[in-house]
Amino acid sequence: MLQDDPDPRDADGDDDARSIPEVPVTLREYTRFSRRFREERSEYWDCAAKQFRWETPYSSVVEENFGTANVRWYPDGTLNGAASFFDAVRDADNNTGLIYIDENGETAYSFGDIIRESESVAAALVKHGLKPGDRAALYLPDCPESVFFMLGCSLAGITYVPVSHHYTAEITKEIISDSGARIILTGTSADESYISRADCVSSSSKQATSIIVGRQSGNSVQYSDFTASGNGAFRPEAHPSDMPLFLLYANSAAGIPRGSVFSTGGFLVQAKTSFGTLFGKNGTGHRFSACAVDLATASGQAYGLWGSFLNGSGLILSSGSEDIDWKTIEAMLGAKRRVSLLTSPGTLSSLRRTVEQKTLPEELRFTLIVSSGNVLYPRLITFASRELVSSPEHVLNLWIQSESGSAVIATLNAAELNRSGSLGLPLPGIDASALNTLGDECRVNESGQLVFRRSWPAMITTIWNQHERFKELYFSRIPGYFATNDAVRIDQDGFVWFMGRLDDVVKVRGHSLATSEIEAVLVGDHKVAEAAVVSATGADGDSLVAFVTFSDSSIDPDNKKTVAGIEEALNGLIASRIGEFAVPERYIFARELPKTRTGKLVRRVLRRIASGDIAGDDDLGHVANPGAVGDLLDS
Amino acid sequence: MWRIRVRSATCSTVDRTPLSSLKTKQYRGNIDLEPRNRILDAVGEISKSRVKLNAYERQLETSGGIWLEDVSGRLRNAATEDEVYDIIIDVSSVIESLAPAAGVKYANVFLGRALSMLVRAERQLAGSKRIMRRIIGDRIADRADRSGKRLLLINPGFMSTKVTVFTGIEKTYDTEIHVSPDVDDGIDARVEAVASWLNEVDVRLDSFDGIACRSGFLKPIPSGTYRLVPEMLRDLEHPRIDHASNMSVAMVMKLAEMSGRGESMLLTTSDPVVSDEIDTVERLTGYIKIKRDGSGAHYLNHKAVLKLLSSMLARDAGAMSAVTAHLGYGISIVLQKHGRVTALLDAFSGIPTTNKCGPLDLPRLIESRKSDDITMRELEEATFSRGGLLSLAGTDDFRTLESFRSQGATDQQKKKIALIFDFFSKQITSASLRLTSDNGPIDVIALSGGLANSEELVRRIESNIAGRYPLVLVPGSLEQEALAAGLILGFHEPETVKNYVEERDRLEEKRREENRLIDTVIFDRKISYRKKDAQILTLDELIDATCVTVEENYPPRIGIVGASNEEAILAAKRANEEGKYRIAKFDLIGDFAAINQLAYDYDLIIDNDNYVIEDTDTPVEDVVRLLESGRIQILMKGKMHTEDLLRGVFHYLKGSGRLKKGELFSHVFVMDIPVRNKLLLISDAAVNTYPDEEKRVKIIENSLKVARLLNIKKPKVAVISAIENVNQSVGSSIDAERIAGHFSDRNDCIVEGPLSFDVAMDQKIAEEKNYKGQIAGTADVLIMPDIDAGNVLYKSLTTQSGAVAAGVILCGDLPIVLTSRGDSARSKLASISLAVKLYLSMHGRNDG
Repeated sequence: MLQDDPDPRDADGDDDARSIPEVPVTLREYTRFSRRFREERSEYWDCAAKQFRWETPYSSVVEENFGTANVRWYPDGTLNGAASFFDAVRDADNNTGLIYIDENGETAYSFGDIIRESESVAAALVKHGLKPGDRAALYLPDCPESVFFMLGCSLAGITYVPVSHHYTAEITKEIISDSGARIILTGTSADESYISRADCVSSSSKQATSIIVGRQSGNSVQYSDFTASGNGAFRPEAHPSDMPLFLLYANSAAGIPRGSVFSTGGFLVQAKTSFGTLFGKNGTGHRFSACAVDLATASGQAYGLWGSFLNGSGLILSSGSEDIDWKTIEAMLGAKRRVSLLTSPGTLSSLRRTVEQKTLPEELRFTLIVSSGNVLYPRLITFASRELVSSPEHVLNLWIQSESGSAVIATLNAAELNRSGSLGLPLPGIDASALNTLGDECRVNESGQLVFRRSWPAMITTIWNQHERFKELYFSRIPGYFATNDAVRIDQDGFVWFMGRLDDVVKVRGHSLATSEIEAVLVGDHKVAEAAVVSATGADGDSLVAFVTFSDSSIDPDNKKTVAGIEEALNGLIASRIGEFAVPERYIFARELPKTRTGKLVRRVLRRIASGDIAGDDDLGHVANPGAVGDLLDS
Repeated sequence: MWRIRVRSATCSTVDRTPLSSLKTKQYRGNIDLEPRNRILDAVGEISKSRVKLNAYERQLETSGGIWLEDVSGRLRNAATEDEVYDIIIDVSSVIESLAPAAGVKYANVFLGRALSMLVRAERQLAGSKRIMRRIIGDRIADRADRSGKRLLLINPGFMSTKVTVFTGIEKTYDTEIHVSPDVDDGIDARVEAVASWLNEVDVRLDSFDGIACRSGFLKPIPSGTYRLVPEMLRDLEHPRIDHASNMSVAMVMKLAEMSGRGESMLLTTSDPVVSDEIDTVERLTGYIKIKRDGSGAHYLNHKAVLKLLSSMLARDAGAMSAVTAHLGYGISIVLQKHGRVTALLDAFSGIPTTNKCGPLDLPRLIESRKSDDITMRELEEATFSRGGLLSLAGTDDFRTLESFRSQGATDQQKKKIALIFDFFSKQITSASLRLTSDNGPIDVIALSGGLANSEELVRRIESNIAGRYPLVLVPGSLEQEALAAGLILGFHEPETVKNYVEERDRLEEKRREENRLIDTVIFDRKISYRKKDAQILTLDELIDATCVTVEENYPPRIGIVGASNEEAILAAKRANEEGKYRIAKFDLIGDFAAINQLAYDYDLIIDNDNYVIEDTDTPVEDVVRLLESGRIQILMKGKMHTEDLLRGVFHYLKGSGRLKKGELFSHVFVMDIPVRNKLLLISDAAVNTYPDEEKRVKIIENSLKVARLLNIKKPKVAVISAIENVNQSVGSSIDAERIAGHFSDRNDCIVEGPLSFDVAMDQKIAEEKNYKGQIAGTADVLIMPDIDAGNVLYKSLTTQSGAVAAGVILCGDLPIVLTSRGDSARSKLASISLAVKLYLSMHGRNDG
């Protein structure tokens, strides 16, 4: 077990929390700064944690062992998440903490209101028999109640499970069942289909009590009745740092749902710190952060909810959630508020398409636009900097995935630290690099797999009830590293650029699925050396084809009998780990797979082979071993 | 007598020379005659002294010969050491006075012989004392003599171990202990044998102050004396070559241990065979995959020979330059400069030896290998053990050969033996002289080793060298003396003992650094040299010529419109290869994410210089903007409809005046057809569908631009029709005649029409059909009647006869490249080259 020092008990001789070092604004300084805190990660994250009130101090900053997929931040420390936020705004409880914009205009809540509402939720949860460590799910569009509910859960030590209101009823039901949630909060929406999905989930859920916001339906408990039941006041307790704060379920294939677990201490420390780094210090005057991403995502959690609140910023939500239009923007910026916008490239893209509807007065501008969730195209940056902010460096991109919890790579609000089109620079305390297929660090601009050598506080700590799967997915492919499926290059100044995904996301039998998940299962079998799963286009639609090489060279891929046995075993493995639907239609066993000179699998060629769309005279100049293609074609 | 003759000769030469009269020759105009007159003066003086010099040299030759004969006789008959010393003093004084005259032919010859005589004399003295003094210098020798330290020298060879004992600087015992056939050869057996021999001669093992050995195949290190360390044993576990000397380090350590005072003993090795200090340039061979190193030579002897000779010439060894040849069973010839062996030739790099073939004529060898006339095994044997003299004469011993010649050889065999001596002496001479070609004076060439005893070989080598350098003979080997010298220096100047691990690692790093230099890629694709203005005959030549033109100018930037296209990305990759092979730089215009994904898939390195992504969802608009700003110079079509691109670009070019009134867009294919000896241009098979007469005249003008680019001096343009005579029922024949008519008064090209395809392309058919025009089967350019004919022709050539096509659209001064999936990699690269060359011919500083 790797233990990071310094031991915080030695460090905090005086009780005054050391402030987090200021992030420099020049590239030179930043490079030095980030190198220092890559080496002295514990020092950085120790300072960050000291911004919180710990009931019991943590015994070390981090314990991590990538070999066993074990990551614990601030072990043995205890604190209360929501209470930390309440501390932050205790002196400003009259300030507006939350603005909700819908077709009726805006509704504002002061921080004091938020605290009271959240305490009611917490009290009601306890009244309802939920104990710390139990789960409660949310399945509704972003609204003030969902915010109160999540804060209330945290206050009471309940792990909340935000489920995007776009998810199907089927998936949502599976999530509720997998997480064992005992309460489910649903709501209302202008979207009819949501209402029927929500009703379906509420009515068919046996284990969970259904609570509903804003409308009547069946035997669901009304939200107001629920909160009234707890008699208001609530005395929060401290909970272990590694108690799950929330679970995030990806909208992935059916089969076995996967709930990413985020622990309380680590997530909150990084959400607060990272928000400060990206959005800047609060400075003079109250400021707001408008959230145009779903709160049921990592970035919604880190920067919409917790980051802004823990830093004393107000939050603006709209009934349109991520679908904001020019009118909503005008409302958000109304009354010359200082507002930053958390959004996604998709939203920016639709704003760009409708730019002729823009009636926004010139003086109304966001202070900052922070985009996450996808590649932020340079053309969108050009658009946003022209129409929505005052300067291009005020448009930031975050690299954040549901596994990362918070942004770990980002462009920053300074001319030298913001390079249009790049993912940005690894944030302080983050050790990111690109590895080529041979496992070597990539040269400047050579593209490879984005990996992390060390953990960070907000990262996923396990998959709910499936720790082996967690290990398999993130730590088994490159031993000693936390691996992603993103291909990146890193330029001479350290900016990371997204190149593409390493695997394919395919749609099979109605399920969208990343082929890397099947590959991870296949290479889990000791007989398999390499596996590449591609989607082939054929006369009867798309199908999955798996290319497999053996680690034991004595296995003859042409021996029909041997490979049939292996095929059967692999199919069983996939069915049990992912589901029957992910079993490939066809296996192609080979001695070697076509690769580029840097050892990269040439998926394009594999796809063409699988689809029978390749001829002998194709230009294979980029393939280092064109002979392998010939062999595959022969077989 | 000579003197008088010399004088008269001098006078007459000067008087008769016409040079003096030239001095006074009258020139018209204002010419400075001063330098010219000085030259004539100098030449006159040189001639005068040359004549004088020749005479002295002859004197030196004759008298020198007599004197050496005399000294040699005295040396043979010398009974006491004192007599030998007298001779040494005599010869030394002559050498001293001769040295400044070195450089002149007979002075060289005589100096070499005198030095050889001195070596002979000094070696005649017992106990090597004199030689040791030469090698280590008098100062150290005096100290060593006084200290009287006892040294043991171990030199294991095949089935025997040479063992020598020194006391002070004197060799006191010397023997060769043979391995008994009754015991297993090995470290223990040999140590045992050495110990028992010492016992026999009554020398106690613990009486030694130091042991030195010849250390075998360690890892490469610079020459010098090294303390024996355990790391050496580890390196000797897997030696590069199996050799008895690999046992020596272990033997010495064992002996030291047995002595019981191993701690206080100095254990060394000096100048091992794995020494390696040759210059970087010597590591190159004519093939990139094969690099040489300096190891494997007889460093111990080479270094000692130079020290001996430098002492005899009263010079500092580090300041001398010499070629030393060790001619023993193995041969190595080295150049020593600045105290280093900077270059080396041996059986693997320069000369045949007694049992190794040396370099062979590779084409003949390949042929013999292919026909199995020489098997791989034979080749290996020839290289390592059964080549050289052994293969030529059936013996690996020159002495045997010499004695057989005088006893029993037939006349034919005698002739062959003479031939062999001639061969080897020439090989050795030329290798030695080759090493002298290193920018600086060479003081001596020295021959050592057993073959330096062969009178015949030495005589032949001396006559081949012909007095260019003094040739000194140091027959046999100084290895034991050199080992002792290293050890003695180690006692008295401990700083001379080197650290094996440090030196080994430093050298390894240095060599690695050198390898990086040698392996540095200059051109990824080999560029063959061509004369600049010669006609370009193949697409490969076009690509090469473009590379050269780009080198002389700059790589233009090509904008790929709709770059999210596999073909375009692959083409862009080939035309740059990370800047290694840079025909052009690229702006990849189109969807950011899709281009990045392709770049990842195809290993294209986006570095924001050679490749830059321009993110846009309106590529044509962006292209116009980039053209306007001058950012891009050439266009290439990616994922985009040709018409959309051309329409957008046309508007821009027209509006900006870059396309002048009357100029036309047209496409030209340049075809490389396997059965043809030159390139063929076809136009227009892609852009203009049914061009009228006026358009086709412009199409010809555009294709002439491309023809000139290919250095076709007077392009032959055939306006194609179905027939070669004007026929009213074939419209294209009437057009063709009229079109050709536009060019009738032109001198820069030949335009004829109508021509049928076969008459334009096939000389025989043109002759048979009795075609009277100038083109007759040798067309450079075919102007097609319409897109149907053009396209069918281009596709039949590429699909049915293995032709490769490059294509470009000309629009004013803007070339546009079109490639398609069907194009081969070469064709894509050729198309880009064509566009780049075209662009640079219009805009470059220097068109290659």
